Amino acid sequence: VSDETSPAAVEPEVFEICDPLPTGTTLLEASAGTGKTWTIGALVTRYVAEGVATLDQMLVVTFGRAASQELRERVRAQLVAAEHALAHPDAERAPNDMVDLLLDTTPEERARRRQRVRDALGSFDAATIATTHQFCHMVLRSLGVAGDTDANAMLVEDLDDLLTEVVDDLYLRAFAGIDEQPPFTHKDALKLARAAVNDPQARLEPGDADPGSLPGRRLAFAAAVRTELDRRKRRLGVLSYDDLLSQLADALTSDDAPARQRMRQRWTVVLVDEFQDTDPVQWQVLDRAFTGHSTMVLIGDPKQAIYAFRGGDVATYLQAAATATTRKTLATNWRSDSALVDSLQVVLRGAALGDEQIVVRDVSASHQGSRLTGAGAPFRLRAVNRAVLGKKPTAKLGVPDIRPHVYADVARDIKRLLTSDARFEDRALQPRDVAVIAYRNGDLQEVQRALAEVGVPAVVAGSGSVFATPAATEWLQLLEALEQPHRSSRVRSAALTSFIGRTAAELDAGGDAVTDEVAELMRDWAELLVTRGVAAVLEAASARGLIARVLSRVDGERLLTDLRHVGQSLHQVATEERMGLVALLTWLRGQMADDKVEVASDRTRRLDSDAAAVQLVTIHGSKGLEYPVVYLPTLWDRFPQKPPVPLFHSAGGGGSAGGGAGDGDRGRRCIDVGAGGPQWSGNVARAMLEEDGESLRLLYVAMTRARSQVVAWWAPAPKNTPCSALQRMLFGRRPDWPTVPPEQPLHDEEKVPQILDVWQGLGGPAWEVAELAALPDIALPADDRALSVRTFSRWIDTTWRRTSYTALSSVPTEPESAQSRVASEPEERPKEDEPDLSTVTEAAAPRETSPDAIPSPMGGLPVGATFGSLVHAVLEHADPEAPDFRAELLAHIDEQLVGWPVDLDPEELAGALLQVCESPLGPLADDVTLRRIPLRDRLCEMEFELPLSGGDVRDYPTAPVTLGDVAPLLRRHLPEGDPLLAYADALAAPGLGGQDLRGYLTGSVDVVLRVPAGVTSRYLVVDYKTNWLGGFPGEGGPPLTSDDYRPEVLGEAMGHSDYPLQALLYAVVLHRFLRWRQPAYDPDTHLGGVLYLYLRGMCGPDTPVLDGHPCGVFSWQPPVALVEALSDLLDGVAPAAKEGVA
Amino acid sequence: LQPFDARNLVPGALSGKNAFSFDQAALAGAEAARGSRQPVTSLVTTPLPARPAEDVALADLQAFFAHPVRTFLRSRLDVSSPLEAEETHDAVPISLDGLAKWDIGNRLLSDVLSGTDPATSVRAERLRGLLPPGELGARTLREVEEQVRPLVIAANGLRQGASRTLDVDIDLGGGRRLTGTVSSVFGNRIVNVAFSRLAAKHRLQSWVDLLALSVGHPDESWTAHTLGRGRAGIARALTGPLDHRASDWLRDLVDIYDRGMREPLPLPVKTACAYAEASLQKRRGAFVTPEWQARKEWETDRYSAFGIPGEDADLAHVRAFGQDAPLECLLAPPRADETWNDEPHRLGQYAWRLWQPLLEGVENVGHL
Repeated sequence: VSDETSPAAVEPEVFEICDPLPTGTTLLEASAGTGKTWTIGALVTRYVAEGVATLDQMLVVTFGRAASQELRERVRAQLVAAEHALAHPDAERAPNDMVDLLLDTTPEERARRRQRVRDALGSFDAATIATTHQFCHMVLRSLGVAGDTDANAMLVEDLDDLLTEVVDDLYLRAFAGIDEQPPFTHKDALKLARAAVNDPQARLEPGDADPGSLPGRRLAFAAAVRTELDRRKRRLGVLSYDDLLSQLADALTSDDAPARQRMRQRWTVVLVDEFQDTDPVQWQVLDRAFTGHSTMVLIGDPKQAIYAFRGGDVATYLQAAATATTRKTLATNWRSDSALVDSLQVVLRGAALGDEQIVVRDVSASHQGSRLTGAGAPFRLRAVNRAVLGKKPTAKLGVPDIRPHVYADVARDIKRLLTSDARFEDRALQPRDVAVIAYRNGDLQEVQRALAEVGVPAVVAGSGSVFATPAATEWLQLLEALEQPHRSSRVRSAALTSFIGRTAAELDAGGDAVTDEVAELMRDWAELLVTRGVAAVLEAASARGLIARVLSRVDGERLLTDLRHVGQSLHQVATEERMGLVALLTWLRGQMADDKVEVASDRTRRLDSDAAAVQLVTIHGSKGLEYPVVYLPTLWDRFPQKPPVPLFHSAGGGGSAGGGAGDGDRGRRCIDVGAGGPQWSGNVARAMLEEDGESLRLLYVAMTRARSQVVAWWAPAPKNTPCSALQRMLFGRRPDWPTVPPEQPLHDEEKVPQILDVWQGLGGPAWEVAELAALPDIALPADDRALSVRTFSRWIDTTWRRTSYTALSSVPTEPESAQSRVASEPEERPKEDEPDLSTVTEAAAPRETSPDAIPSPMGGLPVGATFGSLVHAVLEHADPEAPDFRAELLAHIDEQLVGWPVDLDPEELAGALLQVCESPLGPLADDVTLRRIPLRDRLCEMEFELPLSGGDVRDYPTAPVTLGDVAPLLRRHLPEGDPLLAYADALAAPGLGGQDLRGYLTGSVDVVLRVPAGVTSRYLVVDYKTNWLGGFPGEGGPPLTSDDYRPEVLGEAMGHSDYPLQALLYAVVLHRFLRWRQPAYDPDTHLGGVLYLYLRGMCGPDTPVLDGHPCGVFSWQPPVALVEALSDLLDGVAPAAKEGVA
Repeated sequence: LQPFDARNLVPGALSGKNAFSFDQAALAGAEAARGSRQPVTSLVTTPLPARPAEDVALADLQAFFAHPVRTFLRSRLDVSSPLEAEETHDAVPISLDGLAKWDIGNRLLSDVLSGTDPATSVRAERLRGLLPPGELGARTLREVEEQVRPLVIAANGLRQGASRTLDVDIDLGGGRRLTGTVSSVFGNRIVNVAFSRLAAKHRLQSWVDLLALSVGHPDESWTAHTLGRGRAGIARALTGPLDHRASDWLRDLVDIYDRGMREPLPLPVKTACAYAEASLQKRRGAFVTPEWQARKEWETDRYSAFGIPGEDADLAHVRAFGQDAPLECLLAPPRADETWNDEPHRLGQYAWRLWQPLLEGVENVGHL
């Protein structure tokens, strides 16, 4: 770094939350525990409250889905707190500088601020708080043609299968035909292809290799794989997450790219969390879109950049940092006690963690003193020497000698701590307060074993695939038996699993009797699996004592958790992919054979217990977490291995890597796939050097997880210690020295105490020899509270339901099978409330055709529910005031035919509907036509949700009412001769009339019409019917005429159907709606009645009128008293005098 | 929160005055978890009752010594190991793994030894569709051929004379008989050839055959030749001819078999062989720890990502002794009726009893 002052030399300013709000590009360098997420939330709140930006103008980006979820909650919490404080400035609250700042203004401004925060909370879902990938996906989709992305492309998480295909094909193409030994094996080809594809932003090296040499051919192969994979992804229409980023970066390339404009317009303030984990393309996207235009606040801690293997690129962070207009630090540690911070700082202060710009700076602790008492020094170091291992002073040591000792020592020290009277924040220290953090999962599992030996419970978070556990094998054996219960060996194998729990001795003694008994059970469970899924099998096994059986084993929680986890995975895949037993078995076997290690996925084993247990976590897994006491048993143990494909950053000024590259190319992320050539060893060394740096950052992350105490181990292993981070920090440098050597050879054993004494003298780790502590012979305090369960003694009320007219009237003839699976909500279905053909008139005696009958304009149109739905939809949407109504109808017919496909001539339908809309609507509507009622006087598809007997209001005063109670009301209020009176008899059927009216009544009224009536208006409930009331439709039958829809025919048709119930219910719906919305509502004035429009009988303006009633229109005016009585009945008011329901 | 977590079940811990949960099974589980926990032990802790003495088939004896625990599970308990995942190969093979190459070699070897023309067998392999296309496949096949050829030459040198198949019917005493058939006999030589490294399994197979012939047809002088691939060229185990002790040795084998039908014996084939060979060296004064040699065969290296699985990962052993069972599960002190020699534990007792006659002079392993 020659052309600029070393940033390390200048101590950046400290950022306070009350500083003026950042503008331009601001980089905030955090340290562990300094509250990155809190700062983001506080900044968002300030930007919003002070009116600088609204919430939807802000973009908050973080890495990882879980992190963005948490960030979302934290931001919201801060907004809520600020709103509360602004609303109640004098109320007591926790001290908060940011809130104090917001309150420190005039009352008027305070009110405005409160309103802004309230608005932000109201539109919180509009906030873009997302992962980088989510945000890129969103932008790409909004770009349309301004970007170059297939809008229909599917995001795919795992492209490995496709990659394997590409590698296979390219390998074959290259080597199947040639007569020489392939220069590299197929396995190597796959490895280097994976390296090249999984790190798509890295440049492939060695770029200047001779194409004929081995490195040249490997390079060409890797490049070809990248190209071919891209081609196939395009062809298949799939995208990987990396593609999202690179495609957006491409769309932003040119200075005047429309994408740049869009992004700047949309977001004026951009906040980025965990910025140290950014990668070159992510930064490119942000830089191109926002630098110099929007305010950008980048918060990150380069000391915690430990995700190089996943694409995180601290070099990009440093480059971005150089372009920031402002650089500040967060300098208060809210996590750790000052005693611990001070002690750790003695060791860490000033050290450069892998780069001279990544320096541990001083932080002050918010918590003074120590919250932990009775546990010794805040930073303890236990040093292993030959004596404690029982070795002679000259003996050679190896890792296998040391590791078991350290594991045992960790376990004993933890047991000692937990049984001592150590207290944290004035309560007894519990197992869950202690975490053991190590680099590898293997170490954690060994520590878990050691802890189990001394009786301390511990859980390992996220260790490996659940399909590699004994639980998966047990499921496999069970499923194999379920598949073939006639094969005795499978059945007997299953009998030995925890699901059945037989022992070998029982199996041997029981012979065929056991086989038969278990086989019978297997047949039952197989049936259960088919009808109700894997979950039911698991429950059946639980009912037979699975849980107690497993938990009585030593490692029961672990096994049970895995069994349930595998069971749930099986159930999920069986449901989603509709797998049967055989497919399920194949799937499970495939999962078990697949040894892919994923960082976090559904396959990762779950925590086996969240009860009091020591937490065992990897360093990577511990990032962002905190524990009162942290044990670090393996900081001395690191053996750097030469990477098969080194990842490194190119040196400046045309160094050995990337020959010909200019100065601007410095720090470019590269991977060398050459496995040879003149630059290979240099690149390997560079990659290993970068890893040495990262190991220091891992040490930093591990040490800063603790709130009150860190206990670390040091041991002198000849091979593994010299390169370890702890050795290099303690023995490879003096206090405050920035430089940490990549390797520090072991000192003589007698010099070790002297050096450790020096550190201790400075206030650093209090060290002791790691002699196995004598174990206190006390068990950890056990939970002995009495356990019990409640018994489920209540009834599930199955008559309370959300029902509809259709459901009420179509009483099921047989109950649904109790074994049927839970069904999903039905999709939109065609109209169900009209039978296709009414049989009413078929039974009627042949009649003479009246002379003035006109043929029905819809006589040639098809029948059926889909046709009905089509007509409903057209009538709902067509605007009667359209200048060319026929064209309007045609347009809507074309549109609706897509959803309701019927084979018909649209012209014919339009003509018929034209006639319908010109037909008089009868006396209740003053013979107005549909054409004359504009859309503003219609309420189409009025949906309602009517509580029956109070709905779900608890203790609503009701009497038990049934549908049958409607009958006496009809008899009392309807005059003799009313066509609907006959329905009272139909309600006598117990299936229909016996239905409880409790729950909700839902439905939708086809249309409510408002027609003028003197100075006010009347409202009519209208239902369209497309029923065919003539003889059989089709060739040869009599033509359909208006005669088939004479008023008395309609009255007859109504009386023999369930339509009266519909008419009654809809009248009540209208009544209640008007009661609520119509000023000065008077049912006598406003309640207009019910019209059933039999569309096929409505033959235009000349439709015959008989006794004042036009054909095709059934008009019914319910007495107001009946409507009111029915409305009360639905509300749960029993009729005053019950007449017997005949 | 797990359903069996105490907070679900302690009255008032989560809500109201009563426990939160209705789950009886969870309650039973939580109570079981508080009780004294059962350590996870071997499948069979005390031997199952002995079965009535029946005649022994030679084939059963062979199967037993090839894998004592698996045979116990199969024939005594009628319990199978879970089936391995059988992936359907729907892609063109590009490179073959060790197992696929072994399949090809094994087929070539048995075809050629049973008289098929080598060129025809190779052509059959080409047409089978399991080889990679083009030169890649041709090269693989050549590699395998190279390995098969010396085995065939060596075997043909030993397979002189007509091939014989002999029945044996041996009185074991107490009314029991050992019956069966020994094939692959040429003159008075038993010749077994394997397209694998010469391993304990193959040596035991020949040993059982040889004992059966020596006891069943005592008037001929039998030898057994076991061929396999060695570190340098062809390895051969030459066993026999045997003297009058053969009959006792055979009865020892049957006794081990009887015990192995009552429980999973601490006698995993490779581990026991490694132990016995080291024990022999130790007896002759070498500074070796037999347990350490046994451990190398038994335990899978947990620190190595690509470790070759040890015998502890064998599905039958997992079933009998548990997942990742330490070698110590084989090192229990011998029972009162299991002291046949001076070895300190059960593995040693059984291993030495089985291998002692072979190692102390009857068998000669070397390169051809």
